[in-house]
Amino acid sequence: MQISVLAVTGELAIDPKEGQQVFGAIKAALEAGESVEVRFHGVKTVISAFLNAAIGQLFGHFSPDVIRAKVDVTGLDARDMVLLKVVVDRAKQFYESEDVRRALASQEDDTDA
Amino acid sequence: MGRAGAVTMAGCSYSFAGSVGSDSSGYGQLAAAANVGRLVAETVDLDFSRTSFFDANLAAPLGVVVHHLLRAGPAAISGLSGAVRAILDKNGFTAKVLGAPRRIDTHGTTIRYERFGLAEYPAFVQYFRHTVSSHGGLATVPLPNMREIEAAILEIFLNAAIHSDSEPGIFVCGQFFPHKNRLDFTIADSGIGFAGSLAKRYNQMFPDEEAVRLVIVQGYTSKIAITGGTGLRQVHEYLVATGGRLQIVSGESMWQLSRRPGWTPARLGSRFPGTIVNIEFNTLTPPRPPAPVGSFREMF
Repeated sequence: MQISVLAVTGELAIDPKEGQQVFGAIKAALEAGESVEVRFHGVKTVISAFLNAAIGQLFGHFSPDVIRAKVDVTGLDARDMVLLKVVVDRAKQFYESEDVRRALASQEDDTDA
Repeated sequence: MGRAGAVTMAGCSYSFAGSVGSDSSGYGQLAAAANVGRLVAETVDLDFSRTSFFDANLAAPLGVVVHHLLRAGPAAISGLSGAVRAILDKNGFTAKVLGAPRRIDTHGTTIRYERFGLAEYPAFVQYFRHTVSSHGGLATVPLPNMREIEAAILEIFLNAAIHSDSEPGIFVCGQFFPHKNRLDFTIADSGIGFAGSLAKRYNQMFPDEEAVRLVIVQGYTSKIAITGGTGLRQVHEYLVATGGRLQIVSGESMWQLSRRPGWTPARLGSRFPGTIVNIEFNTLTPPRPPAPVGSFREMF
């Protein structure tokens, strides 16, 4: 499936709440076993606060192998791809921490309860 | 330094002395002004009669000081005259705070003083586009530079809006120096600071200086289940590469980043009631061309 970031944010992908919406759509698709193309075509400004929520968060819920196999991100120019790599590197490091894993597990327990 | 706590017939006053610039001395004076002691219902007077110069962008933290004082009782501003009055009239500070008419900026170098609620980022984007991106004086700034400037300012504003818990909102102001190819932009809040933000996450109160270092250098984040800390670090790297400067005041400490000598801390002597981020952009030095990172799937 395709997710248009432009349809969620307009030309400015800066709000973490809108990033959360995009994350929710990607997560739902992956849980249904679908592949996802996250399209940034038409978006003029992207900042890390948005990318952390929309893309970085995936690494707390899915393995890098699953993300690599099922998710693609298109439509970002060279400058924003560098920003995305910073976000991805930071997310991988962040979600490998035991402290964060415990916090996430605790959140999921609360949701289940 | 300024003179604090002088008791007058009208109440207590803080006198800003000499040149108040974007440095530890200037921030120290603003912090001291926010901490003037008073008896109940006494008016605190911010006295500018001994001020020879006031950096225009410091209108943003001055707005924080005024709101901080007003939370506890009456406050007044006096002694504004000459160049100090002129710059605060031109950037709209006196219009917003004192109800004075805004003076026309014939040089076109001021960037308007404004205050935004924490959820008002769309209004801030509009402000940015109308007052910075389309600023006549900045028309010659190359597009790649303007794009980095926009991203940096939006990152810092969003960080403040998300993390500060600043009840009166976010205060912004800027100044353009066309002959120096420099844009200064300051974002200030009256919130919990870096230390307060980290304390919510780690249940531990770090000293102000250490809290800023942990976020900028170590990448600590105040978020529990989501990554953060990337925005400020990106801004930091861009400024290092282009010869800009970043100053962060949080509580009693200030950190300054410049190309040389890198990060340097300073103490203000008084506690600023919130956070100040001041960015000096070099508008001429182009950003480094991005190194190819491949497709998303090749990144990790």
